[in-house]
Amino acid sequence: MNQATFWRTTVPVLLLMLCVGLLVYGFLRLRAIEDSMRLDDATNMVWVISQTQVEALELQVVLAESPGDTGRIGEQYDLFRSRIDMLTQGPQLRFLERLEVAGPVVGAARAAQRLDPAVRQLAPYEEQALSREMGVLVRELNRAANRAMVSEWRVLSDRLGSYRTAVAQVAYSLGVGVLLAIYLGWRILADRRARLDAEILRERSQRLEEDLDRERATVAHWRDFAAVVSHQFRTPLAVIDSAAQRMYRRGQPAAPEVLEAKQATIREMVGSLDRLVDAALLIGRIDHQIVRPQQVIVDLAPPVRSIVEEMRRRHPGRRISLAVEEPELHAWCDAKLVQHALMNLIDNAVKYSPPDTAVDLTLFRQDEQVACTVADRGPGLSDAEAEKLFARFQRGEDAPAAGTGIGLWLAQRLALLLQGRIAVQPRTGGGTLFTLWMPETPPNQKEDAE
Amino acid sequence: MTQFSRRIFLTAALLFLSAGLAWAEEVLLTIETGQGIETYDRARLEALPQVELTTHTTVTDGPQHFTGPLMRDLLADAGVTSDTVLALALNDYEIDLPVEDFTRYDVIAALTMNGEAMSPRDKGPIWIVYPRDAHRELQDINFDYRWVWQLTRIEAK
Repeated sequence: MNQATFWRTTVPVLLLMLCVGLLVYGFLRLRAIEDSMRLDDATNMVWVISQTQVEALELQVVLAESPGDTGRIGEQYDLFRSRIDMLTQGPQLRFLERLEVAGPVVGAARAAQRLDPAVRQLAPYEEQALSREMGVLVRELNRAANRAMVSEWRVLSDRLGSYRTAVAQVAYSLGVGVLLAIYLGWRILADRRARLDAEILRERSQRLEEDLDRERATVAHWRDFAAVVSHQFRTPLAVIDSAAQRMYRRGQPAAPEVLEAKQATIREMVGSLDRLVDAALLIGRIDHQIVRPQQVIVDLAPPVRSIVEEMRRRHPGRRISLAVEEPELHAWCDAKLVQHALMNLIDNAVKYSPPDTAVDLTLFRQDEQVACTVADRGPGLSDAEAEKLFARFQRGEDAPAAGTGIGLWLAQRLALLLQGRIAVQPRTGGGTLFTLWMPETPPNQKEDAE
Repeated sequence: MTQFSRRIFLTAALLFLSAGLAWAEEVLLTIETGQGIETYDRARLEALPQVELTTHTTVTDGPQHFTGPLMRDLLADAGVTSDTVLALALNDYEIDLPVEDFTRYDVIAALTMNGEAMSPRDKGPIWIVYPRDAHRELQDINFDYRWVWQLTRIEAK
């Protein structure tokens, strides 16, 4: 068992058991008090003794007032006997024994019992003897009453003391129980708050982690971007430089046809640089969210035709075919940006395939999307490469790999901006097949319609 | 037998008779009902339905066997209708008893204890006995003082 489990589980359970135990103990003590709060013993012995004493004194009075009056003496003797007989038997006698006064009291009682006027009429001297015995008994009873009083008060005091103790124990156990309950409640609340705090902390750190990842990706993206751009700018510049050198080699102008060819190369390279600058600026504007697509539902066939025308002009030696499967193919997009994306795809296809092969475009509809494929007969991509490129496109964050060109990357950025995507796969018979997918309707609208 | 001796005999016989009657008719209990006074000798008490009761008492050891009429029968017989009665004993003990005790519990006016008539020398002639063993709430000092012995008089209040 580790430290955390001990404090989080074992301790609260033990405290809970202690708490319940204390409450049960308090309850049982209260029940015990309830049971014992009942006066049931011979707790009125002082009264019993004093009544016996009264009857003994009464008998003395009768003997003094009416000597020889059998009737009065007999009646009073009966009353006295009923008291003394009760006092000297059963629980009462045991009580006197505990007080250690039973001997003298019983002795005096026996003497009085021998002088019973019901057995025979008492002679005057016997009446005097009975009166004397009453005197002795009264003194013994006095001692007994004193002791009984002390004993009863002690019993009562002990009892009250035990009640006090019990009540204090109950109070303490209840108090401790309540404190434990409060502690447990506090623990539960604190645990819950700690869990919430931990949750918030975890979310925050997760967000930070994500932010950091994004920042890292952005940094990597711009680093790669810078590398690619510098490379791509350098290539046409190098071509221009070499063309310019040839035009003025050995200090004299080249032949007119060479000059013309070099001028064409220079112009082509300048055009390429121009487009590169455009693309770089466009990417910058997309990244800074300056470019916001004006997406509407529009027939894609005319703008695609127009960009294909444009590309044919730009690459006069290349065959670029276009097949449109339906007269009208409406998609939810920004036609200009779609043209731009396609332009980059076509440029890429032209660049990476042999000059004598065609680039084939097909525009069609599938699964509530409009797609345009751009197929070339270049070296193609292995499945792994295609997958890698595809995955990279899906994320849309990575910069283009070396040799892929800025164009593909821009096309990909544009597709994502328009809430579409670009898929890449090997073409049957060799080459690569890029597909630009555009939604037919705005995604939100589709959800609302459902 | 001379006139004189006959007179003596008659007188003696009358005296004897009256003494005998006096014993038989000795008033054990007087009940002041509020409307009048009812007196009870042993015969009148024994004429009421007799109930047996075995119970412990606070002043004796072991269970004791009592017989006597129910207190509620006795009070009804005398015509007491009050809620409280004052019980008085030979030894001048007096205590108020709620009549409700007698309707709620089978309290008896015991005439015998363990088969013997109780005398004033014991706790007689009448001992008010509560069925202490049958009801836990009666095992309390609040009821113990209602066990009036040497009962001689009851007054409706």
